[in-house]
Amino acid sequence: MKVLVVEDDAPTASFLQRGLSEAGYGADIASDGIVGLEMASRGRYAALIVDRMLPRMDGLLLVETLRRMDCRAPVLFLSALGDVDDRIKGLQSGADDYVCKPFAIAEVLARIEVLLRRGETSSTTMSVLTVGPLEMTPLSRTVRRGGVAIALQPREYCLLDYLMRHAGQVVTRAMLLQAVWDYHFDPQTNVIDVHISRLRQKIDEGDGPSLIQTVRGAGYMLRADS
Amino acid sequence: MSRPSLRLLRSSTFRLAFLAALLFAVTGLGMLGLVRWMTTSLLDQRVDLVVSAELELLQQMQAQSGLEALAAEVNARANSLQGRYRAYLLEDGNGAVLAGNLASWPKGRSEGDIHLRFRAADTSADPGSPVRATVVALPGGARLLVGRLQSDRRAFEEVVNRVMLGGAGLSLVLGFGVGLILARRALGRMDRINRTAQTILDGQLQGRVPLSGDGDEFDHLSVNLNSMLDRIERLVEAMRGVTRNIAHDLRTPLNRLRNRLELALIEERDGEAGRMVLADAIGDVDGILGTFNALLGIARIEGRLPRENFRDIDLDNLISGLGELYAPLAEDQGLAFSAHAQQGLQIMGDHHLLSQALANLLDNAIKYTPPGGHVSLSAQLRGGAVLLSVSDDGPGIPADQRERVVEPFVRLDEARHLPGAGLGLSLVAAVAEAHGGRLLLEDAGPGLRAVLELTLPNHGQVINSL
Repeated sequence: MKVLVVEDDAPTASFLQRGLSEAGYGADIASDGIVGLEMASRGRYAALIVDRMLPRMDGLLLVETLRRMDCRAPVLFLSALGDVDDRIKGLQSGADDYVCKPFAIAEVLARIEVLLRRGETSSTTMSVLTVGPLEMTPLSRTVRRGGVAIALQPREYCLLDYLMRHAGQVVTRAMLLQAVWDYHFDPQTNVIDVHISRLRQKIDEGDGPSLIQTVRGAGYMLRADS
Repeated sequence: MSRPSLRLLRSSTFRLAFLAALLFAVTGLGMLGLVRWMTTSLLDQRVDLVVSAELELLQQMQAQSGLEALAAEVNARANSLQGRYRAYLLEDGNGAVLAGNLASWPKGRSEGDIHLRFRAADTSADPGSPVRATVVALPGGARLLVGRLQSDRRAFEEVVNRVMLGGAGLSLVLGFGVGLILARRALGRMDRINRTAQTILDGQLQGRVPLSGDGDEFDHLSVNLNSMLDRIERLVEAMRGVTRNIAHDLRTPLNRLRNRLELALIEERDGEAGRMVLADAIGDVDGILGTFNALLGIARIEGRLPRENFRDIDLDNLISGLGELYAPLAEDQGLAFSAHAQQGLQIMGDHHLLSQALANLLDNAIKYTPPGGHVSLSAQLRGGAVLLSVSDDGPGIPADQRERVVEPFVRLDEARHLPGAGLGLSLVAAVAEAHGGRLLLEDAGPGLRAVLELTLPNHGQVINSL
């Protein structure tokens, strides 16, 4: 799978390229908006990482144009503008997710991974979600482990729902805070970690390794095999 | 600067004053003119009445005794004592003078069909005086003119003319003078404002416009300018402080990072140990980036338009959402946590900013309150203000430090060993100000109560179902 990086700052672009190839993706670089548009419309890219402020053609316009050209590839915006309004504007232009600069590569990789796998997992209508021994029925909002029902608080349910829909993928704390609580700030304390450990207590069994693994320097991952 | 006299003439105050004087002069002239016209017409009418009576008499005489008898009578009247104040002339059908005290038919202005106005002859009592006469045609083509000298009319006209000229001149001179005085006064006040502006342009931000104490529009302007200058000065001072503090406070973590990297280079660590050093270095950098992000966030909030992105916020929702997020963390730290919102409270505000502000306060409360303590989050209505407060029974902040800790980068000595850059409360204060409110730090006895006081009138409505 190939990812197109549209970014005018060469060190940032090659940093992203290396990060992506470490994670097993091919990556091409376009250094301005026009080149980015040409490459995106010609090549078959699985996803795009686009800087908001680009020479020759603004990132917002680039994404809007691509969407009008019926290019459906998921787009992740990178931007030094970090306001909630900027975020909303970015998403309205047709982008799928938004990361503020300065960014950690882990955050970008986690979000790209989610975007790339969206096709496989995002069917909200799925009648039953299964990860290892966990079984979730969205319609009745119930969770079972090995056939035994687990009682979850509404927010715990949302948290687990998000993790299960992104099973096998790294999800960062910021992603969880945005998706589950709809907050877009960085808490100074480890609020999310506490929620994860509570959830672990409910869904894990015995002393074995947790279903929710901590990924150092990045976030968490729900995995069936451990 | 142009010459002072020219500046006075150009000032709007002078122009207005002079224009008012001009208008006054024109109105005065118009009224006097009307009076003059009405009075002289009245005088003319009086003359016409007397003359027509005399003419009637003379016409009767001619009808009874003939033209020659009339000529004799006219001459008698013309040469009598009063004849010097009157004008008589009798002409036959060929234009030959038969009688009277005028040498020939007078050249003058005819007024109406039968009236004539001309100047009195030199032989009259008042040479040059205006004469108003009436002319009648007699049978046989003869003409008879009888008139009166109007010395009183002339005197009256002269007086009125003098008054008009003098009055107009006087009001123009007065208008000019008063205009100059007013303009000088106004310019003086303006100059004081301009001088203040100049001192500020020269870099003296403390300069303020002196007040006259009259409470006039200049004082109003000055008061507003002064409060604007106060605010600008505060902002500039804060900015200078922040710049100083950024430079100072970022040197420490950057220095730490440098040391770490230097150490890694010297020791040539490899494998897991080397990776640990790098991970620590990333942690250092994250801290520095966090500081910059927080600064940027505060700057953005302070630079926003008033009420930008404001929406109706259900405070019950806001409080319970945050409570739910923070309760497990507080409990893990051994703290009793409660979140409570007065039912049905709604305000206009920015949901994201208020959440972030309260999250900062909760972060602080949980960080600084020792295990066994209490932390509570609440929203209530008190005296026309909505209070969003976070209370704890931790060590609190000494009264003399409470104002200081809100400033960027200020940290209490007791907190220096804990992570953070000293920007959290600054952000909360900025959010409060963006909502037209303020951040209050109070003694919770023991502990600290941080309150976002959002005053309602200029802020939005409250819907209180209770």
